[in-house]
Amino acid sequence: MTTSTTKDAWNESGDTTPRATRGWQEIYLKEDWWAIWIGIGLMAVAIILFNKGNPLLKSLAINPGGLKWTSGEQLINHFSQNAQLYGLQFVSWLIIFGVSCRIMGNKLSQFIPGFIFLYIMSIIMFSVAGWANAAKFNLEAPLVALVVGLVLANTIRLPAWMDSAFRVEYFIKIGIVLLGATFPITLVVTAGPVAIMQATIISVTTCLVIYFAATRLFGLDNRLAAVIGVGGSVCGVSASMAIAASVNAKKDHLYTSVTLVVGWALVMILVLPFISKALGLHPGVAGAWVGTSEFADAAGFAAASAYGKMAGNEDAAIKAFTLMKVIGRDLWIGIWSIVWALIATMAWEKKETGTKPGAKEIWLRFPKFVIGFFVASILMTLVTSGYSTADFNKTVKPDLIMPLVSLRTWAFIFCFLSIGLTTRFRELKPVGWKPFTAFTLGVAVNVVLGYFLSVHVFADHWSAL
Amino acid sequence: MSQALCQNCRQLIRQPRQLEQTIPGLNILSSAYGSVCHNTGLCNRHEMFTALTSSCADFEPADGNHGFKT
Repeated sequence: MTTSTTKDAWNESGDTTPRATRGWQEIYLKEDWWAIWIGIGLMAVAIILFNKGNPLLKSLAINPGGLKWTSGEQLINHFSQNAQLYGLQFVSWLIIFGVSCRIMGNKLSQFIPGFIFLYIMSIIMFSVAGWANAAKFNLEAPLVALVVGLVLANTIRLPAWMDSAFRVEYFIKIGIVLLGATFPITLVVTAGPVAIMQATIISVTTCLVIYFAATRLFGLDNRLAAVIGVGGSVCGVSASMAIAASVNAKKDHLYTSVTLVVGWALVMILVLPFISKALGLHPGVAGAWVGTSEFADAAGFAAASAYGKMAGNEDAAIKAFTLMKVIGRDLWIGIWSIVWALIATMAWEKKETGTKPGAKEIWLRFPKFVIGFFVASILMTLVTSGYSTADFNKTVKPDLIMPLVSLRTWAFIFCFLSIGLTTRFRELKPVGWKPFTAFTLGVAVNVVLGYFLSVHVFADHWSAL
Repeated sequence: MSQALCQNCRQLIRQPRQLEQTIPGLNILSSAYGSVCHNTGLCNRHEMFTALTSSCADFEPADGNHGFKT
């Protein structure tokens, strides 16, 4: 069938009572909801055990990242002394991820070997980061995990079925929900509006630059321009996927977005932390800049976390990044979807493209894991509100907060390794110079504008985090 | 008889696992299992993304509940 025939053949059904919308099924078929169940579940277990004075979760949250070992003997002693805990931890992760991934449709026969490999590699990454001289050589866990994953994926050709266990988005979503447990809701309320304002300025500007460069300068298809426009300005390929059906994007359009987003995101992960270091940016300021300049949550967390570790204040970098990216940008995916659906159906030829947009689209495409972040933040704020600062630092922080931070770090390491392990350059579709240039113009505007707003306009705000 | 909607067409790919296999690289920094992909499918015939409630003249009825997870 030719393209023109295809266009003519498409229309809107107007049917609004589809069997397809079985919304309740999302709660066990979508990883966003699983991230909430697992993140909040772990938090609830942590709170219960903390109140009972039971150190089980604290013990299970073990990782060698903070060892500061100077000899192999120290490292071996650590593992031999804690072999049972690591064994129990591995089994716990395997059950948690295995059951949820199986229910979502993955095969356990593929997931289990893949996850065993991922866990062992994560232990190695933590061990490298736990070396006393790691910081001297910039061996930050996120960067090491990413680079090692990339090298493995592009040299030894791991079987593609192992991707069943390399769930980048799933791990980062669980990590973000757990992050909510260390994120006071008061901070979200006070710092959130500035993040939303800055993110909106940059998202709208970047999207428009890419869209108009693609359509006006290079004469590219409206749908391709929209798909790469939101990919570069909102939330990477996830945003492209979110609007793909709204504008009836072609498969090739998404291929293009995948290549452009992955390529630039990897460059940003490896470059932004070192530029921030060269410029001596405050971790909070750098986190905000990364939050406006990175396309995907996973990539951004890798960059923000890496620079935070380099600067000795990971917390500020992660918090600023989260405010900017998760709260400032991710929340609006549904709105962008409906905006593009409206443009497609009202401004472009109605017969050619577009699915009738409805307000419920905003909710349907809402990244639900963000709800888990807010719930975790509110819950932990309530639980810890009765403690004095002294008691908080003496008991709550080491026995409740830090174990959750360690579990979050595990989720992040799984994620960062998975980014590298799933990035097989040979599988990425080459893109033409026109979409590449349009996207790159957007990236340039995004990075410069993000830097200006983070470092000059709102610097006091971000450095106060 | 099922309605002539994309969700009932045998050309539609909507299982997340299938979508990720069809679009290499989709799982690197994204996921077909996310909420943002709600009711999005890929028409194999037209190589075009579509909402499950859309329809077209090339509808081909699926056997049973093809592509729909129950």
